[in-house]
Amino acid sequence: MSNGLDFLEDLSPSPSAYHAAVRRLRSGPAAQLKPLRIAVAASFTAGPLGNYLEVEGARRGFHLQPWFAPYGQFELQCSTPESALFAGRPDVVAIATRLEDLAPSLWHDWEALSELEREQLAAQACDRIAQSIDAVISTRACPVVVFNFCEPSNGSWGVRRSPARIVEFANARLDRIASERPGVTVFDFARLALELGLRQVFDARLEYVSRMPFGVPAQIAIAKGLARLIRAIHVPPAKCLAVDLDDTLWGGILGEVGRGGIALGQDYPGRVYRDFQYALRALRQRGILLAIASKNNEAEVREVFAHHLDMVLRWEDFAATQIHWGDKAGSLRAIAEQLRIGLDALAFYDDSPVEREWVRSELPEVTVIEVPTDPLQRTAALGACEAFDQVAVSAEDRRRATLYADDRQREAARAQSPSLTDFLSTLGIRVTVGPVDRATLPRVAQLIHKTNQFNLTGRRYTEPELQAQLDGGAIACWLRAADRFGDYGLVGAAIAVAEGSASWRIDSFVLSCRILGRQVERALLAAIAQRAAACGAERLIGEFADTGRNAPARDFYAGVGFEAEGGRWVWEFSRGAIEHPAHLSLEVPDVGSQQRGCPQ
Amino acid sequence: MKLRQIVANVLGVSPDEIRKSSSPRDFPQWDSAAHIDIVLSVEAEYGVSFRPEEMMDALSVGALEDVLRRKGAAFE
Repeated sequence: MSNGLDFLEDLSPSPSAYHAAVRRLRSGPAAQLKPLRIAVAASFTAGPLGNYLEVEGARRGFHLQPWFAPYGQFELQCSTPESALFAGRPDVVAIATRLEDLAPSLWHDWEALSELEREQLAAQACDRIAQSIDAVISTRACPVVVFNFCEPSNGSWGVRRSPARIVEFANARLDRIASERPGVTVFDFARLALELGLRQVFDARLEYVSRMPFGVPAQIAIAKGLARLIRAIHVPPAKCLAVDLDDTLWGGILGEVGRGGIALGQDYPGRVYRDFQYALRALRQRGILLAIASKNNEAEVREVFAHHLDMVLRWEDFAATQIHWGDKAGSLRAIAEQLRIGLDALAFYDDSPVEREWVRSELPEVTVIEVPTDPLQRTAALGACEAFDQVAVSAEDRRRATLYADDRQREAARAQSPSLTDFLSTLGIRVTVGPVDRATLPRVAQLIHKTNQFNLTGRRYTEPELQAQLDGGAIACWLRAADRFGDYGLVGAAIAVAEGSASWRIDSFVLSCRILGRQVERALLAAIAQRAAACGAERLIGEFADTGRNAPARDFYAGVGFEAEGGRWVWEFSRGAIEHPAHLSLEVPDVGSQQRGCPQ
Repeated sequence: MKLRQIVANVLGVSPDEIRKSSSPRDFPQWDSAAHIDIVLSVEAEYGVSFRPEEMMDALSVGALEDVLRRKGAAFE
């Protein structure tokens, strides 16, 4: 680890080591990390998690500042707007409870209860959590993380059947509660307990002496999982994974053993590589683009893709390919350029430590994944890699790989068009603009979170913050686009807020890099301007804040004809409306929505 | 790690300040949570396990040493 945090490596799993590490962290290095206040409202004594949280946060670039609700007060603290929990202005709230605490009779009286009564008790416990979540969301627009349940420490010996079914019932209910509320994410404690084992998770002595039910290894695992989830809430996932081929997608060196000699098939070791390909395909299915960076002869590689019956991945599954004998840092640069993504959105997977070290030194922005030498451990290593973590997978994510395949066809058409204008008109672009609502909010939040290049202000909002803006009367529009090659999906969003009675300011304006260069941004601007005018705006104010990465958006307002005024850009509606670009056909999904944005 | 170093780490003081007689009376930060951290650290360091009574009663460096001695752990 660079940035002076080496002392966090290989800490002994003992509270004293973490006390010393946290003291050292706070004495200096923490100042370079992103501060983040986390309030933990738990039904047990959670305070001992504090040091572990600070260390695990620091490992991920955050200076986590934990605060713990006093024992026995988790509901009181959540439901009272004046409570110490809210006075601490948390950036994230974690609600950590156990069925043992919320529904003690569920376990105490297990044998006396019917299955229906057990379900009712479990449901009541979940609904109490839902009330706390709602209280937190209504008081403070911040993400909420809610622990689900693991089985109780005392299980199923003798006559009793395992209580797993009721725990699953409760967890399914919690999942539903979370999915119905923007910005609420389940922390999968049940899975953590499975991985660690119940005997390791629980420490009866700590439970009885201090009301902290979990042993030190479990406390560390909880802190690690929580820090990982909090990172995923705040850091967008890598957009593309570039993989090597030899000894990665298959066993052996293709150039030496030939297509028939590589290890890939239904038996060991070929099945190990097949399963690794399935893991890559799963990443692709949730929107991570795949690319190849390999030193090989492309013709031979294409033969494998075309004719090897045990290949899981198809040639078309890769959004970009760099197969030649040039160096891999150059290959990765070319991949990022072709896909129009930043190098920091790129992850690299290669079994060769030499290649990894080379890329690390040449391109420090790229996430280089540590690859175990044992192929059996590689699929797990991919899962342990946090670069692809995302708290929610949108419909856009699931379709992204297809979108990029459409793009390759567009590029071909563009090469044949005499000019850019000709190309744009032959594309037959259609755009649809509508108001941001419950259904589109998660995707809009994701777009605002992830967009770097065409992002006018660089402001980032979480889902609850966006919801709060809407509730406060902001106008928010999304834009979808499609052309004859396919559907781009929801690729743009803009938010305008009132600044006085006759003046509206465009607070956020983002457009996915997928759709850049087609002047679709003008359609979005025209739409939000029209809505602001309908709400009584006489002038529209645009801002550009240089984030170091949004150069493509720099001249946007000037290009449309806004006038510079005090570091901002102004459009007076007395000059007329902002016109919708002629080469884009416009579809409005919901005419009634015109009024939606108006605050009154 | 020396027992005194463990105690000093948890309390945030120099190991020189820790004596055999040191106890919660000498350090306001040696509260019940810090005490459990001390015990759990001793357990991790010396590979022993305290009973709840031992956790609650071993309220000085000397008393912690007594428990370690009883459990046959080598310490310094």
